[in-house]
Formats: sequence, structure tokens, C-alpha cells
Amino acid sequence: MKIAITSKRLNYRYQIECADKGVVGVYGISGSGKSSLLDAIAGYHEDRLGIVEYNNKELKGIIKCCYMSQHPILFAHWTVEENLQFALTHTSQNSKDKDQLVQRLGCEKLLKMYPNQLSGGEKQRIAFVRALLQIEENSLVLLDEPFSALDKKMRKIALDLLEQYKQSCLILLVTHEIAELYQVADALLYIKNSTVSYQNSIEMAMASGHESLPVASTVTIDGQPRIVFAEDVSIALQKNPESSISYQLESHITALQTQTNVTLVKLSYSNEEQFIYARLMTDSIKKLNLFAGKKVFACFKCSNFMD
Amino acid sequence: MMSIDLTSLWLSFKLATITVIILLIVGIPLAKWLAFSKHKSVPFVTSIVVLPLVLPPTVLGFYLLGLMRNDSWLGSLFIQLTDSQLIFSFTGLVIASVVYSLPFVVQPMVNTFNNIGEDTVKTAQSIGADKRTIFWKIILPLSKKGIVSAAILGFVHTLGEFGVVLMVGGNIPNQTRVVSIEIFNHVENLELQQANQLSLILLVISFAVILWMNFNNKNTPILT
Repeated sequence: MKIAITSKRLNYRYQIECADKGVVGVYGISGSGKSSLLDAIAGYHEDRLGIVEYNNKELKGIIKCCYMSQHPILFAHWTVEENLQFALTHTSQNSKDKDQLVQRLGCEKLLKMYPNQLSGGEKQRIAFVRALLQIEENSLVLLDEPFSALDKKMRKIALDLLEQYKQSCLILLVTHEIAELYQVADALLYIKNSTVSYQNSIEMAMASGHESLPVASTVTIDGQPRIVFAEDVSIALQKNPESSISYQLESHITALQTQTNVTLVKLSYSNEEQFIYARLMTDSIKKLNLFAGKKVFACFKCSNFMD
Repeated sequence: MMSIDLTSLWLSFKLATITVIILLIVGIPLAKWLAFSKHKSVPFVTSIVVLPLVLPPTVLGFYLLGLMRNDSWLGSLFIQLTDSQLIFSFTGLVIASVVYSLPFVVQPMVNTFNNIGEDTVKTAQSIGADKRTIFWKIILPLSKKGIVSAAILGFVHTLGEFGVVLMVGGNIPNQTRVVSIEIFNHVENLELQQANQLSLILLVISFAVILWMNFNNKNTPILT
């Protein structure tokens, strides 16, 4: 996908290049222009100048896409069932797919209800089901904080569903939950002042430390890839069997990057193939006499990962 | 005496019903255009539509008279087609009523359409619905209450019109002597009892209709 667009009225300038498949995370502080980026791609801005290209086709005007806005819009005169049915008449998916999604997201009891009878979270679930139902081969999926009102369990289910669909389409996902982005996204856009201030693959973005992007790495724990943030990692010179911290990876320091009183330490483990980061006070670096090449233990709690 | 009174009332109802039907057919597409179009002429057309709301009925009636008199293009065309004159006829009255009640029907409909919001329309467009589907399956059903209100408002307003009718319709029994004119005649002839009866009927009907509307439609503004 290639985007090079501007708007005088909304004062944005977006320049983006990314693959035509997969999940692209969109991150930035509120008011930075994440939603207006999605709106612009959907074709909602009449004064948009420039081009949006997807699968080598130029997109003009309001395009057919799976758009889910921050405040999901359901049609008030229809029941939930009828709302979903309306989406079904415009997609190649069938009512079996609908039933499956409804069941996965626990929406069976909502089908007969009208949108004004639903809570915020229920609306989001229905809108998410509708967005997924619209997905066809090479669809463009624009999700603007789609899970903000969902609980942890639902978010997990929703993210798993995104993983399922991402092989066949391009998903742009706006969220404030950076851990979820790191987990599900293939690439990341960092939006600031209505421009893309940083874009890269998710691995590079996680290690970049760019502005408010927290540094993190993926660690496989019990066969599952988990996101471990640098600020959750500490360093010990010796393994401590008397600690509650169960993850104490034998590793050695490959790089140190000091920014006044905080230092980012890059560590490699399991035959130099894997990396993990630790964010420490610079004083601690001096106290422990840490330097590149030194053998240490990277320690982190993993109770966060227990579902 | 009583039978003539009912004739005028019946005539008013007939006029109001036909006027509202025409206004729905003309008004819905017009209101849709005014609400959703971004064309430069929208403020201009809106102003024309709203004009009968602020113009004295006599002024409006005067211009309509000019439009419908026998030597005008419309008047003479009507004579050629039907062999009867447009002025002082029921048909002429219908044309005048449509113009006069236009803002009362179109304005609430524009408001209802605007209330639906661009986001709803855009959502439907993103889903892949074409313009016709969006209008018939989404905009129209969502506007049902507003359109019913608009129609009722147009109906009651046409029932009560006086000045314009007097200007273009005259005072012909069974043709153009609607109930408001009849009441005026009664008062002129000092037949206060008859005037009282008819006025009371109109008062009760109008109040009942507006009361019903307010019960059913709390969010739709009655006056625009």
C-alpha cells in the first residue's frame, strides 16, 4: 500500500508505504491524527489531495472497506441481526461465517436487540463482527480503537481473530494498548502532529525507543511468544534461586545506550540468536560495572502472561 | 345551513390531503437534496423554500395570482388543456397551497435528514451499499417519524390557510370556499353561532393532531 495525501482543512500530511497484507499498527498520543488517517484512507475527506494506492489500484472517493470507527455506528432502525444481515448482503461471506463470529464473540443474546439497547462494549463487539464479516480477499480493514470497551478476555479473542484474517487482507489497527500492537502487528506507524513521524517493521519499532514507543522484545515462554518490556527487565550478576522471579535468562550484554540517567541494555541469549532489552538507571550500570560482553542474568516476572 | 358548513370543512380536508400528498412526493427528494448536497445553490434554494414562511400571505397570493391569471403562461396553458380557468378553481388552490405549505413540510424533513448524520451514510457507503439502497433502506426508515411529523404539520397548516386562499381562490362554494373562508363569511354576516361551531371543530382537530404528534415524537421540533 502506498499513501501520499494531504488536506489543508485538517492540516495533515501522510506518507506511508507498507505491504498489502498483514496488520499495521497505528500508534500515537490522542489528538495526533490517527483517526483522521483512517478516515482519509476510507475516503471520508472530500478535500483530500494526493493518492492512495492499494494492490496497485488507486482508491478514490468513499471506498468499500471494513471500517470500524471509534464510536461504532449501527443502524438504529434495525436489530443487531438485521445490521449483520445488511453487511452480509455486501460480502462473499455467508450466514455460517456470521453465526461462527457471533458465537466466538459471545453475541448470541444480542441478536434480537436494537442498537440503543446495547452497552458500549456490546456495540463494539457487534461492530467488530460486522467488520470481520465484510472481509474478503484483499479487503482493506480500518479499525479505530476497536477494543477500547472490551475486557481482557474478549480482547484476547478479538486479537486471535485478527491473526486469523491477516493473511488475506490489510488491517490498519489504531490502539493505545502498545503491548497488543507489538503482539499482533507486522509493522508500525507512529503518528505525531498529523504526519507519520516513524514507520518500520514491528521488530525494528520495538527496539527503536522512538519517542514514546516503549522498548520491548519478544520472548518465547512455554512455547508462546510474549512481549517483554525493557522496563520490566532487571539484571543480576548471579542467578538467584531464592527469588520469586522465575525467568532468569543467562545472557550477555551486547550494547549499552545511555541517555543521561537511564540506560538501555541490549542482551543476547540462547547462542546469540535472541535479544532482550533492559532499561536500567545509569547508576545501577556503574554499581554493577556493566559493559558490553559481560555475562549476566536478565530477570523478569511473568505473572502478567498468565491468562 | 348545516350541510353547507360541512361542505366547506370537507373541501378543506380534501385540499389538505391532496396538498400533503403532492408535498411528500416533491418534498422528500427536495429535502434530501437540501440536506445532503454540497452544491453551491443549496442556500439559495433553501431561501426560496423558506420564503412563504416569512412572506405575508397576501404578497404570496398576489404573485400566485399573477402566475395563474388567464393571460399568464400557466393560466393560458391550463385553459388550453382543460377548457377551464386556473384562477378561482380548486386546482389553483392546490398549487397555491403546495407553495404556501412547502416550508412546513420540507424544513422538518431537512432537519430529520440532517439528524441522521453523515457518519451513518458514510458507514453504509463503506459497507458497499449504493446510493439508492442507502436512501430507501436506511435514510427513509430512519426518518419515518420526522416525515410523518412533516406531513401532519403540512396538513394542519393547509387546513388553516386563509390569506392565500382569499387571493387566488375567491369564495366559490364547493370549489374554493374552504372552512377558514366560511368562518370569515359567517362573522361578516354576524352568524356567530355557525362561526363558533366551525372554529371549535378546527381548534379541536388542530390541537388533537399536534398533541398526538408531541406524544409520539418528543424529539421532533414542532416549529421550525
